[in-house]
Amino acid sequence: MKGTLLPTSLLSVLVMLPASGGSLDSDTLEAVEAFAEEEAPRFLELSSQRIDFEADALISDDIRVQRYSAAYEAEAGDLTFGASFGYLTHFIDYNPNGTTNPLTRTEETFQGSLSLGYAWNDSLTSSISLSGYEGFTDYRSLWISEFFRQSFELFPQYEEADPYGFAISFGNSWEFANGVDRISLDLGYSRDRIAPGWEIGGLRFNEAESTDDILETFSGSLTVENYVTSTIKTQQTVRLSQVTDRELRTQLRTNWAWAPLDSWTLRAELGATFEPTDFESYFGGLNLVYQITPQLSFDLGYRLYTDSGEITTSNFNTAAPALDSNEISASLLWTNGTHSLRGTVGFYQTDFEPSGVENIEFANLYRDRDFFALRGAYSLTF
Amino acid sequence: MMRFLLRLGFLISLFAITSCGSRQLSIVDKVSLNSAAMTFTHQGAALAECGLVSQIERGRSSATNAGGSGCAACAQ
Repeated sequence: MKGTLLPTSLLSVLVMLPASGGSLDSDTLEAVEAFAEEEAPRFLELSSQRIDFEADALISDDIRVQRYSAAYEAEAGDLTFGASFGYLTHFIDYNPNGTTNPLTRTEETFQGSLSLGYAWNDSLTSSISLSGYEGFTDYRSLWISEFFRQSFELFPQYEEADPYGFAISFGNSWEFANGVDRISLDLGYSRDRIAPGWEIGGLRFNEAESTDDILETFSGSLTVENYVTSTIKTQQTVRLSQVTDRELRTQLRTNWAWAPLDSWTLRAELGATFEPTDFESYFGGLNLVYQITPQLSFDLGYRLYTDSGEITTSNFNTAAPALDSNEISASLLWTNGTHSLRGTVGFYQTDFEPSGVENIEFANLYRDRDFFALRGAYSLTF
Repeated sequence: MMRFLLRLGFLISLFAITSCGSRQLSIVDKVSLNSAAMTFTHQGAALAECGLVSQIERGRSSATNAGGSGCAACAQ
C-alpha cells in the first residue's frame, strides 16, 4: 500500500538517537525492532527491476558519433532508484575552409546519472535526478574547438578545451484517478564548462583570451497528458529555459497517439521553439506502429525540422546557419516476456543555408550531409 | 505551414485538456491507453528514435531530450 510519508519508526529512531547521547534506550530499541520487522522489508524488497543496454550511431562520410549506455532502475516499496552510465565517441574528419589544417580526431565522453523517486500516495510522485559528463557533448563543439586549437595553440595563454558539466532536476507528477491522465512539473539546473572560443586580446596582439566558458541553464517544464477518447491520447508540454547571456527560450510540443484498431497506432508530433530576438524552429513527425504478432511490432516514422539559424552577430562567429532536415526511419521491436529487443535504421538528411562571410571558416562543418541514424537496444525487466 | 499546424494542434489540445481527469475508464480502455505504443515517454528498447540527431536539431525537444539547453558550441 502506498501512502506512508516516511517510515515512522525509523523517523522516531533518528529523533531519539541524539537525545540519548548515541546509546539506545529501550524505547529506541523497540522502534528499531519495529522498523526492522515491519517497514524495512517493504523498503528493501525490490518489487520490479529493469536493465537497459543501448547503442546509437550517427554516421556520415566524415563524421561518426557513437553512444553506448547501460541503465538500471529498481522499485522498492514507494521508492524508485535509477542509475545510468554512458560512453560516447566523436570522430571528425576535420576539413576546414580556411586557415587551419585538415586532420582526423576522435574524442571520448563519459556520462553518468543517478535518480531517486518517491510515491507520496497513489497519485503524487516526486523525483530528483543528478547527472554529469566529461568530454565534448557533440561533434560540432569538437570541430570548432579544433579550429581554435590550431589557431591559438602557440599563444601562451591558450588552454586545451576540457568540457564537463552536471545537472540536477526535481520533478513532481500527479496522476488522476482514472489512471491515464497526468500532470508533471519539472525544474532543472545545469552548469556546463564548454569548449570556449578564443580571440586576440584587444590591442595586445601578442595575447589571446578566451570567451566565457561557463554556461548556466535554468529550466522548467509543465506537461499535461490525458486521453480524449478511449483510442486517442495526447500530451502537451511547455518548457522554458534560460542560458547564461541568452534570452528566455520557450519550447512548445504536442504529441498525439491514436489507436483506431488493436494492431495499429498512429502517432503525431508538432513542436516549436522561440528565442528572442530571431531564433525560431518548427518540427513535426508521424509514426505508424503495426503490431505484427503479440511479440513483434513494426514502426515506420518520418520527421521534418526547420530553424532560422542560431543567433549571430555581424562579426566572426561559429553559429550554425538556418537548417532544414528530415528523417525517415524503420524499427522492429521484439518482446518476449521480460525481454525486449529493438533495432532501428534511419536515413537522416541535413540542408544548411550557405555560410556567410562571418562564418565561412565553418562552411564544411555546416555543409549538407546524409547520415545513417542507427539504434539497437535491449531491455530486461524482472 | 508548420506554424499553422502547430497553432491548430495546440488549439485542439486546449479542448482536450479540459477533459483531464474528469471521466472514468474501463479496465480494457485503461490497458489500451497505457500500452507501449500509446506511451509518450519511452526508455530502453521501447524507444525507437536515435537520440543523436539532437546534436544537430538544436530547437527540437522531445520526451527524452530537452533540446538546446546547455549548448556547448554556442559561445560565440
